[in-house]
Amino acid sequence: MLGLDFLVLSFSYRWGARRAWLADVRADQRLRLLVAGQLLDPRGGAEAGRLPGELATVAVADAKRVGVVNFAVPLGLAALAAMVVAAVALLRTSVPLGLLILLGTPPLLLVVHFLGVPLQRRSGPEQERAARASGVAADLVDGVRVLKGLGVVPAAVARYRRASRDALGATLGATRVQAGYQGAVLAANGLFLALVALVGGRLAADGRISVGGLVAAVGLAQFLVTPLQMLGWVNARVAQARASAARIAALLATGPAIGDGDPGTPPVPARPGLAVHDLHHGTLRGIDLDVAAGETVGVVAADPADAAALVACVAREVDPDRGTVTVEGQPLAAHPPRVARTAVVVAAHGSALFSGTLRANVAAAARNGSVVPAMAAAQADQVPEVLPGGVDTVLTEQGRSLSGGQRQRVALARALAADAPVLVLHDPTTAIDAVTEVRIAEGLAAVRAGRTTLLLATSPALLGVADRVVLLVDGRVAATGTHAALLDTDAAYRAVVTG
Amino acid sequence: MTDADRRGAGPPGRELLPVAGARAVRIALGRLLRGRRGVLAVGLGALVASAVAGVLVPPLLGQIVDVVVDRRGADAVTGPVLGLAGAALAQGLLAVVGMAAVARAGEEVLADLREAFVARALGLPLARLERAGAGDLTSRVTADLALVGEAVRQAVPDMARGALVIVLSLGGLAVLDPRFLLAALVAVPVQVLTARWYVRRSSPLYREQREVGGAQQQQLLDTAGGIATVRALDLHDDHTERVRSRAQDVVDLALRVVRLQTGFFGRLNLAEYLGVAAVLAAGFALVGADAATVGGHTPTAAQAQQLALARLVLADPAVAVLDEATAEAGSAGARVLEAAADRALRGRTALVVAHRLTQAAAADAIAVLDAGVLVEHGTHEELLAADGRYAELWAAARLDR
Repeated sequence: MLGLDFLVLSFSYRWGARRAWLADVRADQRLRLLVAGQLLDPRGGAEAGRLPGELATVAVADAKRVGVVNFAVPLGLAALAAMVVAAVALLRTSVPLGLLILLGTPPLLLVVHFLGVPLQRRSGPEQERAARASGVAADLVDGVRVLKGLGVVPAAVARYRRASRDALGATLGATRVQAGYQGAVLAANGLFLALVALVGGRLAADGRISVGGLVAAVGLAQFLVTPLQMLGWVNARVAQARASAARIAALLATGPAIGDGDPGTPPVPARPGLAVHDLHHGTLRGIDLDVAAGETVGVVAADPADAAALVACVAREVDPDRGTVTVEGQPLAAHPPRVARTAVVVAAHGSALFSGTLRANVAAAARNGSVVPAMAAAQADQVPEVLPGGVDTVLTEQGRSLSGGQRQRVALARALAADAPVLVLHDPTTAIDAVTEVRIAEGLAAVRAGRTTLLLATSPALLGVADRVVLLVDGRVAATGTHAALLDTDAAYRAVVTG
Repeated sequence: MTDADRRGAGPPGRELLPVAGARAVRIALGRLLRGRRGVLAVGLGALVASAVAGVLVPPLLGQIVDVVVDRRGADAVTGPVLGLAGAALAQGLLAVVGMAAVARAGEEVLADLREAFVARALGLPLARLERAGAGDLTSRVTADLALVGEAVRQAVPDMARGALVIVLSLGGLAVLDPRFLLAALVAVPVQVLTARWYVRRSSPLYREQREVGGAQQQQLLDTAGGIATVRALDLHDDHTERVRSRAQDVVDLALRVVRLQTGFFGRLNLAEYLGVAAVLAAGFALVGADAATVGGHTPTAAQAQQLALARLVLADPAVAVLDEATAEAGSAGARVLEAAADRALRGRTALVVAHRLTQAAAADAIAVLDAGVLVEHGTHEELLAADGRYAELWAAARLDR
């Protein structure tokens, strides 16, 4: 009998736990991919108002919390079943004793729960201070070169010691509360058991229940605590999951930032012109721009917000409030977003690099041919020379293992390697020294010769290679001409470009 | 040891910082504990005392059972119950003192350790740090310190508590009868093998799980942080695949962890079964040999008697002698045992020794012995009609119920 019982227990547990766990992990993964799918929707919108860390948290932590429900609910059902069986067994042994145990256990758990409240109040600040101390430590160790350079290592050590002692104080307070809580739980459970033994013992001594009934009742009283605690745990998980599910649902419900476009729109020719007509968006108050096929046009914005708004519209990040962006006479919005972005490639300022090799980063958007000319034109061919693995060096997340200037050159090379029908570059050389900038300007002119290019910048070196330059002031076109002519005649232009 | 393996396999051209051996760790630990031995001793002493109070509970429950069995009256229950209440209070109070003291010592050691670590790390020559790479030191100051903290707060107290309970429970069994201890130890080899099996597989698996989980988080951060670039350069397919493959890695690993964990608990179930069954068998053997009282072990005795009946069925003898097969099980348990005995004896010649008259009543013929002498013999009905010793016992038993 006992052997059979254990066999059933072991197999049911193994099988049930595996099923439940699988359901948990699979739901978790499905939700994560749903969130990632929403995030990666070409129409955008999901990240509006959310930091990257928050998005990753929704996709990882929130998805996990919701997935756990699949694991917790079967456990809750099992606990419920165990309680029902225990309750029936108890009531069959003795109605008064059974009622005492069944009605006494929930208040006992409530008492335990309220004893735990100060603990939860304490654990928040404790974790915060511990996190701060560990943050300070990581910060100091990361900046060890700077600290040594400044000769402030003793001060840094003293600072960490303060943070560490602060964390210790909070932790000690919390551990005292924790010890008190656990002790109180032990005592409360023990006293309840004594009460059950008293009532049960008297009933047994009076012959109203058997000795076996007494022992079974005492055993069941102790047993009942486990499924009840399990139910409490399940309840807490479900509550947590509900909050997480709400965050996931909110993210999934975010509407796309732009329309779908029409897949039937005629394709964009290899060498199209780009035009902007009466464009209103953000700070833009109706601008007209015309970049003929094969032309390079510079745009200088006195207010950086004007440039950012223009880039957002041309990149199809947003639908403009009014006016249109057209490619070869066809509105950009008529194309599906991915088609539009292959026709008009926008390298925004601060474009991200991704984890992977340097070579893979440059080739990410390359449609055809070698990346070598693009690397050379962007002066990015010097970057691998100082890296341990050359072009096969693996970059960390967001390319953070490179300096700002290296990142900018690699990003520019990537944009040039895309060999786009229309290329829009926004401030591509802000972190690069003037000498290199001049070489980049020459390389850019050579690579984009005969290709339609819109160059939003304030760098004289870059603007010098543009066929024409348009000056934006207060959201409107204020002047048009060559860089040299505007420099000579337009004081406002001179102020923006040389200031 | 595993950390040393991981660090040894650093990127080429890197010379990672050394990893301390077991001896160096012991010496450092001794230095950290210096001056805290008093607090630790008080804490551990209180925890041991608390555990002892906890181990008193089963014998006290046994006393209550003995009171009932010996028919000492309802008021005799009060003494052991007061003992139980006292044990509960003592257990709780001592646990508060012990846990607070041990946690205090642990947290202070932890604070000293992390401060000494940061001071030492910042004092290392820059050239040495450059050779090791920035990641080595950062991972030690964040991940490794967090792991040590986890061990001090969770693993060490849990293990200590577990060890205490094991030692005291085994001690309790040994006090009852050393043979109980031996029987309980039957499970130990299986548990040791299981633990070794688990530890060998789990630590690399959990490390891999942390890495895979970290990679997934990093990939999502990477994609989310550069989402505008992903759109602008039409890198959707690449990034969708990256996220999908990281998520798949996580799922694959989770499946391996599930298999490991359910396997672990399944093996522990086996050990538990062996231990419980061995103690029950020993209990039955000892009860049979009058070497152990049933008090405190009544349910095990009832189950042991069921096991004995099962053994009888398996042995399949033509003649069976049952000596008090349903005694001490209480009326509910006895009914089950009576039914079991009834089935076990079906088709056999049986001599059943019983003082529970319901069992006697089911027999084909009843012999009543009094002071070593056969005083009555006949069927249940015949003996009742005779109105002798048996009828007297029967009436008393009925009143008693």
